[in-house]
Amino acid sequence: MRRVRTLPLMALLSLLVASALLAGCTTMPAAAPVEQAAATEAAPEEAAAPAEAAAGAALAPTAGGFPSKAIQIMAPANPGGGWDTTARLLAQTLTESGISPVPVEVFNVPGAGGTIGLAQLVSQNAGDPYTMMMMGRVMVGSILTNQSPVTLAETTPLARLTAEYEIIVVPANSPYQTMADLVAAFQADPKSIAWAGGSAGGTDHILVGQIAKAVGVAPEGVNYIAYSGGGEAAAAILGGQVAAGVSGVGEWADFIASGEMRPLAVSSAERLGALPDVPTLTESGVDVVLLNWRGVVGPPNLNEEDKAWLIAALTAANESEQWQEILATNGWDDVFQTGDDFAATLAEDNATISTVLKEIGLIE
Amino acid sequence: MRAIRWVALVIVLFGAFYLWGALQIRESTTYAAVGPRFMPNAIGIGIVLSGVWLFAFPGAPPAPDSPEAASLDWLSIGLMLGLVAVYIALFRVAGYVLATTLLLWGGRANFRRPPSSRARRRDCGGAVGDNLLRLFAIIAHQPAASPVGLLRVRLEGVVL
Amino acid sequence: MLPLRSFASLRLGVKVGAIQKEKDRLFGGDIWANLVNGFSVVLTPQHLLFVMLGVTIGTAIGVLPGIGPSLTISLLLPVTFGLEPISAFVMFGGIFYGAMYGGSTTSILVNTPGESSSVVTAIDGFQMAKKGRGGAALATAAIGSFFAGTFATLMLMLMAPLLVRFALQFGAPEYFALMLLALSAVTGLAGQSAPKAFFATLLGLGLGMVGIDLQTGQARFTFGNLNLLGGIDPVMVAIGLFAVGEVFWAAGTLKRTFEETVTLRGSLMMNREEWRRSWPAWARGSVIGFIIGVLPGAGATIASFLSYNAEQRFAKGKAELGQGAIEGVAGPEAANNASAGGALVPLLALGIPGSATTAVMLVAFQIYGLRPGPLLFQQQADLVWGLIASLYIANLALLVLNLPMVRMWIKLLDVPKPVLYAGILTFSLLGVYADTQNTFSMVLLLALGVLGFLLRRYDFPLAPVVLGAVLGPLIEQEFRRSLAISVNDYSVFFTRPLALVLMTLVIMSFLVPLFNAIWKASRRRAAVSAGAVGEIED
Repeated sequence: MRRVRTLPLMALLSLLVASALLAGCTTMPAAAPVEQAAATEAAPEEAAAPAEAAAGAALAPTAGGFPSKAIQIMAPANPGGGWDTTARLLAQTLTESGISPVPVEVFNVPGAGGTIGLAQLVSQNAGDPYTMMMMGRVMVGSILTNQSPVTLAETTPLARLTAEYEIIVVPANSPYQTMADLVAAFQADPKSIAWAGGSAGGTDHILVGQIAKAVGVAPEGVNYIAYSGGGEAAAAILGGQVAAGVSGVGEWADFIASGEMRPLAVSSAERLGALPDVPTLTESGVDVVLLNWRGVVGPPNLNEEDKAWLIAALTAANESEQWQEILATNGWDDVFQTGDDFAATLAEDNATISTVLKEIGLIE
Repeated sequence: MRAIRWVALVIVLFGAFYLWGALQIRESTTYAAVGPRFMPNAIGIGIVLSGVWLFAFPGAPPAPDSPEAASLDWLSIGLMLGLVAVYIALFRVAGYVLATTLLLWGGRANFRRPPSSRARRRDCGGAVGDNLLRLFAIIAHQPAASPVGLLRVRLEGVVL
Repeated sequence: MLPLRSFASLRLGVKVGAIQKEKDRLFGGDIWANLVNGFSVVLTPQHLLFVMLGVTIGTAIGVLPGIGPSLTISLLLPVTFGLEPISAFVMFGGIFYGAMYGGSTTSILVNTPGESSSVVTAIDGFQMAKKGRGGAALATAAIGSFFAGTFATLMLMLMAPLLVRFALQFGAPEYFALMLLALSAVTGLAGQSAPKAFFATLLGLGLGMVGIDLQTGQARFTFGNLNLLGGIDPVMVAIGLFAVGEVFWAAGTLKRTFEETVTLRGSLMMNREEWRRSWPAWARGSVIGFIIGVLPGAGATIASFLSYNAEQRFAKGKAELGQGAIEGVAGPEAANNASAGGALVPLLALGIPGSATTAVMLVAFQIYGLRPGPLLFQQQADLVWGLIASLYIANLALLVLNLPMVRMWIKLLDVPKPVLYAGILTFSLLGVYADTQNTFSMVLLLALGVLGFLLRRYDFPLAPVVLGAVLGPLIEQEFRRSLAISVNDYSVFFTRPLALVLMTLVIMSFLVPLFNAIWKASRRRAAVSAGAVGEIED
């Protein structure tokens, strides 16, 4: 009798379990009876079918039969950040423009500036061509500050994809009209300038450290306020809580466009097409150029054939119209580099960043 | 001495451990008005004080219906703990299906000891059914080649 | 979908002037006409289906411990690639609200909150269930959620620009004061023993310190373990202490004590008295939750605790709080739903996500090539107004779907305990695994479960631990930011008007209970000496 009474509940619970699981099945089309099925579970011969913007034909699998199942991109951060966004846009491009014959999915391994994801990639996915990891220049820094036992030297660099320059802004009602004004005030009383940016040791912090060095302010005098994510920092700048803010160019484009933030300088070597009125740091008398990039690395011990396939797929994605449009929308630069060139960049950045981190006292 | 006073001593020890942990934090040379040790130190001192406070004022003796006075089946708790530990250890080795079925069955069975053979059979069947339902939902709509579902448990790690 | 390059041409060059002007700028004209337009976008069978689907999934993941709305939405993102944006967003809106409500069910019926924002609901909700009023508790949660969600959507629609200005007034000192105010809620969660509550709060704050320090990048309390660098998620603390701890507790007691079966008393719905007491709590919870939601640095958990705090001061049945007062369920449940609505204000108007879930929604916007922010209302009026309209519908769907389901949920009490507890254990473990892809998180959950068991054994209150774990990092970061920005000037907490108001509230909320206690104690002493004990019982 008792069991009979609980039957409807059990049925309901099963339903809930099932629906939650359905929610999780990333390639699960049944919950939404719409034609996106074609895009997400494209079998090789269906992939070229004109979904929406299916440009080219799918890459043929390698002689070794790779890939024969879904490829995963790990975003080594919580959903919602820069790596996660880039990973998802890349997965979307690879799948929707018909480059990959198999679905490409994104999963998140959050924590510690990506070093937890990195450790997992190296320890659990060695030789597994089905897992790639999104990463960027910031990870080079967090490996150093976190004293991560695993470094990028153990991974297989695949491709550098996007780049974003940094921008320095002040609130609309700030007394500082130009970078020179800000630098003058900074030199006069370093601590009076509170710089808002991302977490300590990240690209924003490193840029401020480099500016301080270039204008002759002692690194320990820098009053850097770390915020978790560009949104919180944006709120602090819009509310006039801090003197200046540092971030990637794209992040605050809207606030700059609507006049709520005043851009003072960008960290590129030459002025940016999107912001022709904003001088570079170098023009403003601060000799600093900084490029923040994002890229994709593979696990250790990939065989050459699979590696070549993945690089070919990423190259095709980079050349696709869809990706170029994504770059334009987000204000990202195309700094595509593959394999060994990318590895050289990694080594070079590692040297620069560890010098700056030592100077600003984050590592010994 | 009452049990709660021992608990208070453990809290004091924990506070001391926490303060030791706070000492291990590197104070960087970067300008920071208040450094990374400030709050941990304050919390550590607070924990020690709360232990001392509890030791001094342990309150009225526990009422007969309070959890402090409940008589506990330590064997059952130990089994439950062991079961979860085994589950975690097995999760990657034996795979999702075996491990989870074991946990579901063991979790049920542990509440009924000594179980009748009927209850045991029912638990076993229930666990398998329950788990099969989940597994079905995970793989039902997946093309054979994409082995990932909600839990992103790789099917190659699953021993069916 | 405007490329960045053309933004320069949109430069408005106007200084922010009158609110009305700004409103026009944001909304592009008449709100009501826009809303009608929004409803006309949403009221198609396909979109309605997605709203219902979203609410159902949201409720389900709210019920399941460990699986939160942000994880669900990020898992669903690829599925929605091929959909039109509006379909995806109405579904996400439904998930968002549904999850806030769903968390209350297991809190009330089995004392195992599935999210940190429903921890406070478990306190009075579970006591109500024990008294046989579980049905009424679920009903007040459902109706309160509807009420609060609708209120929040209305406010979002009418006052977004004004509210954005208000939220920007909050600098580090104001946030610090606000977090302290939330912390003062522990005075009401203390239970019998002050030192125990004091320890529980500090334990939570202490757990919150683990991981990398945001301001200096230094590792704290990680003892060389890479997995701890990311810190301990408060959601995991809530699940470990409550759900897993409860399973261990049940394993130790279930066979010894004959568990009294919970019988329902009275109707499943709320009675007249319960309605009368719920209304003011919903209203208070809605306002508090919405304001907290609008602030990008706070969140649903803080909203629910602050609402509980308010109930302790203002509720008719405040003496009964902790023993199953309906206000203790109605207020916090309204607050967490209202905060979900509030969090959409900075997301839509500024592109600033105020919570993990809105951060994922921001990604979703970007995937569709949209940029939430000051220009979204102009450029994507259909989408924004469609989203607002769908939020009204999602709220209604939540009520329609869940009120009849109370009858079903209440049967959760009849599920054989072994099956129930084995299920809770499995879901908790798999939930944290799904979130982090790492078996270490299961180990951590087990450790927290053991901790929860021990705390329960020695009668420590659990809710302050969760509150501490949520607030610890926030209090510390805002404190340090305040002092860094003011260059070590402690007066910053009292010289800014908004901070001063909040600090006064903080001091009052810590001192009032203290004075009350002293006052009562002295009256009791006086009464005892006068030999008239019976008189002072109040």
